[in-house]
Formats: sequence, C-alpha cells, structure tokens
Amino acid sequence: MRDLALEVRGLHKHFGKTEVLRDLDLDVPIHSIYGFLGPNGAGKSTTMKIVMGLLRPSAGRAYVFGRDVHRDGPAARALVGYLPQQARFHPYRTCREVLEFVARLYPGRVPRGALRDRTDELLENVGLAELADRRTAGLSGGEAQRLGLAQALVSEPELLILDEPAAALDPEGRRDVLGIIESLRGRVTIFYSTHILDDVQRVSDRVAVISGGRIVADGPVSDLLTGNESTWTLHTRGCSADTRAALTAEPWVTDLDVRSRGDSEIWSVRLVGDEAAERLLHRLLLDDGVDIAEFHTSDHTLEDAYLSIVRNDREH
Amino acid sequence: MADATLDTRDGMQRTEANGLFRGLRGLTAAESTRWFPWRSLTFTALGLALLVGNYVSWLAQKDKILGHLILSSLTLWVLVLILMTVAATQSTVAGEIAQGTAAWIVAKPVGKTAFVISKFAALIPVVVVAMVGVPGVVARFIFVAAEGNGRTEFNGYEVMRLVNEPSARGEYTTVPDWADHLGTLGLLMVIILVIAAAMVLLGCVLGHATAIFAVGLMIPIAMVVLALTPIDHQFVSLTPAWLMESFIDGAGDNPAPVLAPVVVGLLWIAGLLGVASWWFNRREL
Repeated sequence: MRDLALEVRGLHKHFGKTEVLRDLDLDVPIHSIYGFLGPNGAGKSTTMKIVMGLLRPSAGRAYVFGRDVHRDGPAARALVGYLPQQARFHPYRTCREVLEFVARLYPGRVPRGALRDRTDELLENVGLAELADRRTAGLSGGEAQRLGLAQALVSEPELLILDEPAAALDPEGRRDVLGIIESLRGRVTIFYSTHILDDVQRVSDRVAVISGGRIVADGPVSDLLTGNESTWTLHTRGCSADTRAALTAEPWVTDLDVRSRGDSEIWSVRLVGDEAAERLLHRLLLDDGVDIAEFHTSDHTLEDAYLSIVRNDREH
Repeated sequence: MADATLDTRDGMQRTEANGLFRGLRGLTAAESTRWFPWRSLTFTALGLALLVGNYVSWLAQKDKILGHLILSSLTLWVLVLILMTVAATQSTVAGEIAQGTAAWIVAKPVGKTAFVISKFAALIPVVVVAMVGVPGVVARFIFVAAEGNGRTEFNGYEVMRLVNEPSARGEYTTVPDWADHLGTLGLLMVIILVIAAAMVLLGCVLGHATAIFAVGLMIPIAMVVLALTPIDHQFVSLTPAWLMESFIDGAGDNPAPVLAPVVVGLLWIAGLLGVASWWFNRREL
C-alpha cells in the first residue's frame, strides 16, 4: 500500500437500479502519470467523485496514500488536488481570489507570505496572468478549465486528480496542460481521465480502461501498444462479398473495415495473433483470387488498442 | 477524530487534522468576504434609513406621540430585518449546491459539517453588527431625541395594549433604559439568527432557491402569528413564537429575564444546524 498513491478495492456504485461501478479495482503507483480511459458513461467521473468524497460508494473502499477517503476524508483530501469535469467557481471572485480562497483551505501548505508569488506563478503557467483580476463570471469555458487546473495545483498536492483536464481547451490550451502534466512528472502522481487518446499516449506511464463500470485493461501504455493484435491495410481489386464474409468468420480476425476508392477497395483488417495470422490472411486472399496491390501493417496506436478492448468487452 | 499521519512521496510524513470541523476557520473567513463590507453596509444603511425616515415623518406630524414612533419603527424594522435575512440567506447553501461550487469546496480538505457551519458563522457578525447592532443602537438615540419632542409616550411594553386598546393612549412612560434596550436587541439578534439557521437547513434539504425563499418566508410569518396567538404559555415556552413574545416583552421594558429566551434561541440554532449538517453529510453532490 505504501507504494500506491491511490488504491481502489471492490468499488460498487449504483444510482437506483442503475449499476454504474461494478467491483472496480485500481492501483495508481506513486509518481506515475495514470490515464483513465473509457467511453461516456463508463464510470470515470463517478470513480473520481467517490475518491473525492462527493459520492458514497455502495460497496468497496478507496484509499489515498493509505487513508480511507470516507473515514478520513479531509485528511486524505489534504494531499489531493482535484479538477472536476466542469470547473465551477464563485462568480463574484476574481481568478486570483479563487486561488487564495483554495489556498486558505489547505492551512500550512502555502505560507501566507508566499501566497502572492504562488498565485502569480500558477496564473502565468496556465496562461491566465492577464486575467488575474477578472471575475470568474466573465471567463470562457476554456479559461475556467485553466483556472480549474491552477486551483488544483495551488496546494502543491501529492496526488492530482483531473477529470477531463483538456476537454474544453483549444489546441494551445491542450498543449499547455500537457506541458504542465509533463513538468510534474516524477514529483506528483497524476490520475486523469480523458477521451484524447493521443494525449494519453504522449504523457501517460500507465493506463486503465473502464467499460461498463469495471476495469477491462490496466497496465503500462507500452504493454497495451504491444498487445497481440495487429492492423493490416490492403489495397485490393476484384474482391467478392464471399471473400469478405469468409474473412470476417475467421476467429483470428477481430475487425474488418472496407472503403471503396474507384474500382479498388482499401481494407483495414485487425488480426489477433502473430505472424501466423498474417500468413493466413495472405493465403486466404490469394486463394480467393483477390488482386492485392498493397499489403502493409499499420502502427498500432493506443486508439486501436482502446477500441479493441472496449469492443471486446461489449461483445462479451 | 484523531489526527492522521500520512506517508507520502519520498517517505515523507505529514500530519493532517481530521474531523467534522476541519477547514471551518478558512471557510468562515472566505464566506465573510461575501458579506463585508458592501452587503453589510447595505444592511446597516437600510436599517438606518428606515429608522431615520420614520423619525423624520414622525417629526412632521402634528401629534408627536412617542409611542407611535416606537411602534412603527420597531414593527417595520423587524419586518424588514426578517425579509432581508430570508432573502440574503436563501442562496447561501442552495445557491452553492445549484452552482456546483458546493461540490468544488467539499472536495477540498474540509468537513461537510464545516461547510454548513461556516455559512452560519459568517452571518453572526453581519447580524450582530450590521443588521441589528448599529441601527439598533442608533434607534435608541432617535427615541431619546423624540422623547424631548413628544407629547405622549408609550414604551414597547405598551405595544400590545396600544394595538388592542387604542384608548390606552395617554399613559406616560419613558423610553426603555440602555440595559432593556440592549436586551431587546440581543433577543432580536437571536430571532434573526434562528431564522438564518432555519434557512441554512432549508438550503441543505431543498433543492431550489425559490422554494427555499418561499418556505423561508413562512417561518417568520408563522412565528409572528404564533406569538400573537393567545395560547397556553407553557405550551409555547420552547418555541420560536415564545422568542417573538419575549422580544415584544423586552421591547416593552418587561422585567422578564432576557437570558432564558436567548438560551432557548441558541438551543434552536444548535438543533437546526445539527440537522442541516447531518443532512448535508448524507447528501451526494
């Protein structure tokens, strides 16, 4: 437990008859940058809200640095900076006042004399220096998101929990957020949810995929990328519907996407297995007399891995 | 609850306080910034304007009956105070929940109880100083000044008789002395704080600010109606209605002790806030 910043065990949550989380387990190692992926409604925000004490679990426990978040909630949350999915602030406070307000809730974390420098630095880092004295009621969605990130950082937390930190941001804002996350690597544990798989691949050490309220994949990003699936792209001519049907029926084919281009077709075939599957694919097409103009493997991205995991989970 | 020693990065240890009231001081201080200085000054100005306006119009009257000034000033001022309290407090908790800022705050290292109590704690200086204290003290000087001009004088004790028996005019009494006046103000503060605590509770329980405003308005109305209803004193002795009755007695230089209704009022406040905290702790945000 000592090596874990966040530990979740057997978490269940239901709203009425709807079961949102089912026996969810998570281990977020200290100093890791941990991506939390899943389709809409999979339970990402619910998990984070339970960890932050905003929702009560129906069953199970969550621990922050070994402290039960429900029995010792305030003490556990003292170590956490949290950015909710939709950052909300008092409309009558300025950006600077929001940060000062939050700092006041973490006594001893930011010395009074250093507060001004700390807020200036954070506002500068998130690109809000010029809006420091503007009331939050006048902020755009992206600016509010930036301020949300700054307030999560103001207490210099050990664990940063970010719910879709780049969702409302333009490309520049996204880059800034990734830069901030990157700059905290090795000093702060970051647990964040996102739909932007490219970002996860860029900055995350580890990833968990949640689907239907339970974790369906969990591990280092590199492990997910080197899974036992591969995607092949083929430019074909003279292919019959029977060939496609036969290919789809093969147990080692997990996905087939066909697009027409003039009198030829571009196939994207996802295979389970190693070189054997590749040879089988090649042979099957040649046996059917398919004219193959191009045949190459594509880079396996996190998006491929994610879609495959989620699709497999839904099928089973 | 005992303090917690946490193992964090690099084997560092940090001792963090636990407990329902954690963060109360910081939250109260932050909440106070909502009230001071401008809102509080507005409350003070409203109260003073009402009392001074009453005095000026009273001066313009031919029959300068001191009892009329005391009656109309106190009645109007108490009504305005109650309305201001309901209006100002209906959004303190409900507004935060509706805006989503309640969830944002309780995700910080603060107890949910501290969140609820801070809303009330920040109001105490506003009520004591801005709403009741300053205008109330000034009111005494107004009454004393009026005493020199008035033909007939009624103190607050005669208020009920004045209402019920207009023929009672003509009894000559003096303006209540400072001790009685301050006792009356103390009672009024307690009544206003009971209403504020009730509004905090409503904010925790109900989900809509308008509904809270409407229900909140019913509380002082019910208190006044009960206070004016001749029912068994024993039966009402622990109700807010008794506080209202005590206020009327206090305003009337009644020798009845101020301490008892103040204690009852404080017990009511503690009970209302206790239920509010319990409810808010159960609530998911």
